[in-house]
Amino acid sequence: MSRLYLYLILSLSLIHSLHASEASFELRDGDRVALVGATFIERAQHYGHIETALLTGSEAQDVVVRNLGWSGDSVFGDSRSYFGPPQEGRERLARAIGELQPTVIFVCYGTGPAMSVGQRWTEEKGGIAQGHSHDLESGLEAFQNGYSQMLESITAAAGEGLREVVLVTPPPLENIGAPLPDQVENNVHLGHFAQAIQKLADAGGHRCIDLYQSMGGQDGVVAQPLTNNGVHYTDAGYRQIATHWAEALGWSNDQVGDTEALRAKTIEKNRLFFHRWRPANETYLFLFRKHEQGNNAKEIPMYDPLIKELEGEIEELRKQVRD
Amino acid sequence: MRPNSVGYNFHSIGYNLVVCLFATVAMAQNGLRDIPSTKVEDQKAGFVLPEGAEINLYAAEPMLTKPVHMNWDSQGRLWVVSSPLYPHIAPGQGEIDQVVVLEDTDGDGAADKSTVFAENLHIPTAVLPGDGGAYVANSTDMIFLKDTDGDGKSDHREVVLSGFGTEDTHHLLHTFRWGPEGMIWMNQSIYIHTHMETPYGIRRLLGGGMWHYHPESHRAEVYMKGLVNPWGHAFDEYGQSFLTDGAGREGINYGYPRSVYVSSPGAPRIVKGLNPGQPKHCGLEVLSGGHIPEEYRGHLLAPDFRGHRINRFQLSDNGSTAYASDQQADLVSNTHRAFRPIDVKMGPDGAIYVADWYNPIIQHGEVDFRDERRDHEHGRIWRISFPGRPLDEKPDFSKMSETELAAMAGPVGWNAQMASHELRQRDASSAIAGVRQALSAAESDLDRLHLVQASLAVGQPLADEAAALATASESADVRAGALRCLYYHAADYPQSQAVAAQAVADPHPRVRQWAVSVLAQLPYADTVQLALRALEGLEQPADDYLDFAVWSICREHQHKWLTPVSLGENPFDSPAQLLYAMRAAKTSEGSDLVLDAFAKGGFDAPADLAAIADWVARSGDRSALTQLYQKAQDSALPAAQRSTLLAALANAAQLRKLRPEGDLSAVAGFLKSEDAGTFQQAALLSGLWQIAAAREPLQQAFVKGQGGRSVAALDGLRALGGDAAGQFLSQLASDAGQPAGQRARAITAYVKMAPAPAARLAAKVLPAFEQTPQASAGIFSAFLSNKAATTHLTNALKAATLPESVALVGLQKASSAATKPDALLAAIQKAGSIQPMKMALSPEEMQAMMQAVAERGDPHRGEAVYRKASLQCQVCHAIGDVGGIIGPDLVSIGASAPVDYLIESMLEPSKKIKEGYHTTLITMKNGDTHAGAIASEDKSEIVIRDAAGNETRLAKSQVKTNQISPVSLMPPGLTMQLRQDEFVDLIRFLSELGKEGDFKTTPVPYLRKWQVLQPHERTRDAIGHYGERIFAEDFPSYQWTPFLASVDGSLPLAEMPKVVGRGRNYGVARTMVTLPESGELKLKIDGKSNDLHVFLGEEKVEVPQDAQTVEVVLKAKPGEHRLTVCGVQGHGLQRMRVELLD
Repeated sequence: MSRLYLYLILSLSLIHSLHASEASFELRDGDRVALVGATFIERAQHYGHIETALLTGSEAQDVVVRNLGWSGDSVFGDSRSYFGPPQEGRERLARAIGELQPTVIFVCYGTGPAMSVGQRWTEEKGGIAQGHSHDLESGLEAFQNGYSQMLESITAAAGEGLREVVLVTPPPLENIGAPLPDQVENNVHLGHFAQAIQKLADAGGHRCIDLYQSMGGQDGVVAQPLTNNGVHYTDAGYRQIATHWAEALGWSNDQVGDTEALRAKTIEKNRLFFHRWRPANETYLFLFRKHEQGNNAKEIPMYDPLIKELEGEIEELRKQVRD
Repeated sequence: MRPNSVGYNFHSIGYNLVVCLFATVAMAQNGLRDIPSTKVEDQKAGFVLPEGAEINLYAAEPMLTKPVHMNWDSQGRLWVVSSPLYPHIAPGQGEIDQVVVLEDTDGDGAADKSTVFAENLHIPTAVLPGDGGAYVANSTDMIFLKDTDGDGKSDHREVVLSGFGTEDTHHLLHTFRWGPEGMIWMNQSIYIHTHMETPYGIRRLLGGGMWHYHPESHRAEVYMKGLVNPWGHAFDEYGQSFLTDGAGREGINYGYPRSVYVSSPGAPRIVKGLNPGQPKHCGLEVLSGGHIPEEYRGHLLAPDFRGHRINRFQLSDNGSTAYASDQQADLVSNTHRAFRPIDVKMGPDGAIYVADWYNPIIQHGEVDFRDERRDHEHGRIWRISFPGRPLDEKPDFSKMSETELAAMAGPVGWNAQMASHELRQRDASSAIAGVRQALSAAESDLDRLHLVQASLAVGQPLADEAAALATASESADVRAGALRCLYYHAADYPQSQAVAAQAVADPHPRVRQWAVSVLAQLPYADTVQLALRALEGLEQPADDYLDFAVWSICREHQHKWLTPVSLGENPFDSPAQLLYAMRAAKTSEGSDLVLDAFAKGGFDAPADLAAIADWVARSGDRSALTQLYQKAQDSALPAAQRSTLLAALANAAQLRKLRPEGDLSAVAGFLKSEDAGTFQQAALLSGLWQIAAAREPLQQAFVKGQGGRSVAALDGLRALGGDAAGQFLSQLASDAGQPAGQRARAITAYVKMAPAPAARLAAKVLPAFEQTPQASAGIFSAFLSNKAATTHLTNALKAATLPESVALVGLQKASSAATKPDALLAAIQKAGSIQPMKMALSPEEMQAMMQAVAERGDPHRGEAVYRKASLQCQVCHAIGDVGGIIGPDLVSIGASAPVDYLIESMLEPSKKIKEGYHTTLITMKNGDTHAGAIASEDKSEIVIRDAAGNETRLAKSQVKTNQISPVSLMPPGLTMQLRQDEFVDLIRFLSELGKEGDFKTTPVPYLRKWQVLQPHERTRDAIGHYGERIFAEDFPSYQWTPFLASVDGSLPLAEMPKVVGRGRNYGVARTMVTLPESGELKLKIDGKSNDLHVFLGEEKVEVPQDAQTVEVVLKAKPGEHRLTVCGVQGHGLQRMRVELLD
């Protein structure tokens, strides 16, 4: 029996405790929101558009957003594993979720494997069966299994406060033209991954933000590129995505004032949080050389009050914008 | 200090030293910190330069601080990344690191303008101007910064690549350089794990290695893997890559596609650098341009930041795939302790520019992030020029046509690099037209190669021209360079395969390697067939680099050739090629084909036989083993080959529990063999195969046999096992009439068979080792190598008493065990009534100790302490390329490590462990433990190298856990036997290593690795008949032991064994020398010549008399010869030193 199937059974039984996707999305005062994913999520922290949209889309106060994206990550946790196998990456993600105890999680994976059909995209043993099976079909199957397993793991790690896990399909690829590679076929592949995510969402009772479709789907976006290489979105791209994201949640930001100061502050906060949750020198602080310099690990929690202070300022700016 | 770190006070330095030094603590406060003056003039005064060279300050704080890396733009401005934040940002600190642009506007050789281009960076480790801005390595990202409004400051920032690891901030993405083909080359170090989403798919690089990135197509690919800290990369005239390593120790490394060097995780095979035992480097540059004196031009500059100097290497073609790299005299050195050259680049005026990180301490692996002595404020760029020579003219590229730019473009030299870079940024169609025009006027193949490289840089590869050069140029370097041009786009060029098919048969192995590299890029079915031909028909056997390339493609492209093989068809030219591919891919697919050929005598040549034996051992099934065993019984087989076959069978039995079919008892017959190897393997096999008839002969051989034969018999008995073996061993161990070594070996073997009774026996027998405590070391090691056995010994010792001498040996073994056996340590302590002693020093004690080292330490005496056989320093550590390889090379430890670090490392070795020297602890499912370094690894086995340098192959299926141990392989308490003055001298010696002065290893080719003659009864009288020539004979019962030269290259007579000859004492040393084609080799020998006797082979070499230094010419036929040097002791000759002259 596949993990996917197990997950579906499990999700269906949990459906009452989590919000059904039919109900309208809401954020509540003091909510903690986690963004989980690969390069697309990680780079969102430099722009702040998605986070700004989340903060200003409702009346909820003191909402904190934590970007837990990691470049090149897979649903198996490849990028988060440091010196160990992907398993350790999954454990790291679960630990981060466990520390944050989020009330809402947005998850977005799929670009990497869609770009890597025919190639090896995960080091997970058994993620894709050995041999020549790096084709679309086996990639999709591995992706779905890994995705279900990850959802299980982060749902468990988040604890009882978790109200909703929202699945997000990756935005489409653009075919910008030579000397960049043709992305038409990859973008079709990505459509299959988006569909798989949609299915997972339906089966698990998750809300799904279908950025793939809302940002252009298989047609791609070419006239005015919103990516700098066909894959990775620019500032303008993220700005548009944030609007689609909010709309998919049933929000309209028409009434909101100038958010630039707020957005700048979220970017500043993201920079601090990065040093908190993904500090450099991990080898010495927490891993196998901690007996040499682990004493310096005491500095890392010192970021918490600094982040809190910035979030106070973010809340002030948010109120101004909403007023 | 660690409360749980204990040492053992037995005539030790510990207490005495600390007590004596304590009195001086108050006075020591001022003298603690060995912080040199930060004044520019004080630092400048310390420079040592060759004649004709001059150094001046180009820029310093406040124009810039903490320079990490630098590159020029084509306008002659120097872009520098500077990081006061390094090594770790502190909470509350902003991301404040900078890109600074320096400019010498009036051409006086010093920067007069400094612009902060960006100041919001987080430990940036590389900068590369281009494309109207600058590419910067900024922790997890490569970013592009641009000034869009012309105010000189970046106002646009975008992430170009993301996903680089930051596990260690001196390993971050680094070493950016434009290649002649228009790509950005960049490196990462050992701890970095990079996960990158690219428009071409996911790319991951786990561990060190080199990438190339093409900005136009956004393509990023891994080019090669490994190296610990590949902090330097330069291209030669032909576009080939050379790398330095800041923590490896192999000098210059030849970088070719898919090559894998030291430390790449999980690598089953690696290739080596060109200068084993060389210092560690940061940066690499080719000396070029008209301003540089001719004798230096083309040489490589490699900053040795630990040794405060810049090394120089000369590359030459030695007919192999890689090159010969010869170290020359340093370009520059400095006695100032904070001079840390970490980058070097040729400048627009033809002078040499050196980035000086300026720091009394370096890095942060071993020294605390927040150590106060770490400098965060200073930083310098120095400029080295030759005032007697005209400076180079900087071209105004904006006024040059595309054709002119193309004609100037190339990989080496400021003008050439900037010209190709400028050309790349011109309109593409004009640029390629310029390239074509320049090509029509090109006069040499090297010029043509540069133009082909330029065509790549402008995005329109001239593949036909590259193909023509690759197949028809008379220069092997050009042919190889042209193949490299084809390599990047090989799959897009239809002729690639045909070109490679021709080039695999090229006379030069480097061209063949590049042909194989091109093939590795191609999708066609027969790439491996062609690649295997690269190993055939060479004058010499294929060198390791070429062999690696072929081995690598056999693995990477295995899906292609496995298809026909699985259908019973050999797609290759011969069964030997098929076997090669099968061994590379570790597959048994194709066994039938190979065994069929084997049966027909197809593998009878010794090399082929060894190959098939190794393959059968690893991958063969029972019928293959049976066939191999039959071959081993062929009476016509020479002994050496028989022992190879038997060893393979033993291997299969040990690692895979597989044995041949049928009655195997005949193997015991080989126990009568005179051949040591055959006996050894037969003994082991008799045990492994449970041949009962072998028990009696094995027992006899153990008791009566000598040395190796006895040990081999014991291995056989142990494998044979059973109550009889246990009884025999325990009786022997209890027999006081047996020699100590024999008794120890018996217990050691018994541990593996029955640990509980063995432990009880050990507790009884160990006291007998009171006078020969070292003989008991193996017993402790045997118990420590299995967790259950360790517990048994612990229990057995609870009620036992041990002599102090034996207990100390036990403690030393147990405290360096990766398993941290605390209970056993306590039991040994108690049994030996040894008081634990704190080895860690308090801050005050440490200060006093540091002062003692500074004031009273004598480095010359310290060197003699270091060389004491009982300390065993040389067994594990090298200084330069002489000494062991277990621990870090100490060649420049004094220049790089603070004194307190040295003291601490000596007393508490596990506290700070150099990267790359961590111990891996592997626990097997049966409880056996193996500690050491991973030598190699593949999907079925791990090879681990222990502290003694022994390698053990472990089946992965039997491994339970595999973890990095926090315990150093260096035993604590090694220095306990020292007096305090000796300890202080030793530390002083270490602290001088690599600093300017007597303890800096020079590239002078002294003969450093010798053997010395031990006293022998024959010499006393025989000398009267034959003279000193008797020392030069290869007399069978002479005993020669290894002896290494001192740091200054000399052999101290006082440390050599005294060999007696008619009332005189001699020191006798021998080594091998290679005479060149000319048959003549010139030597320079230092030492009072009247007391010297020199022999080549057994021929006396005449030595001129009455001199302190002599030159002699050796004459003999080309090839290896034995050189023996003897010195008469006691008449004033103190040291002998032999240098090879050109």
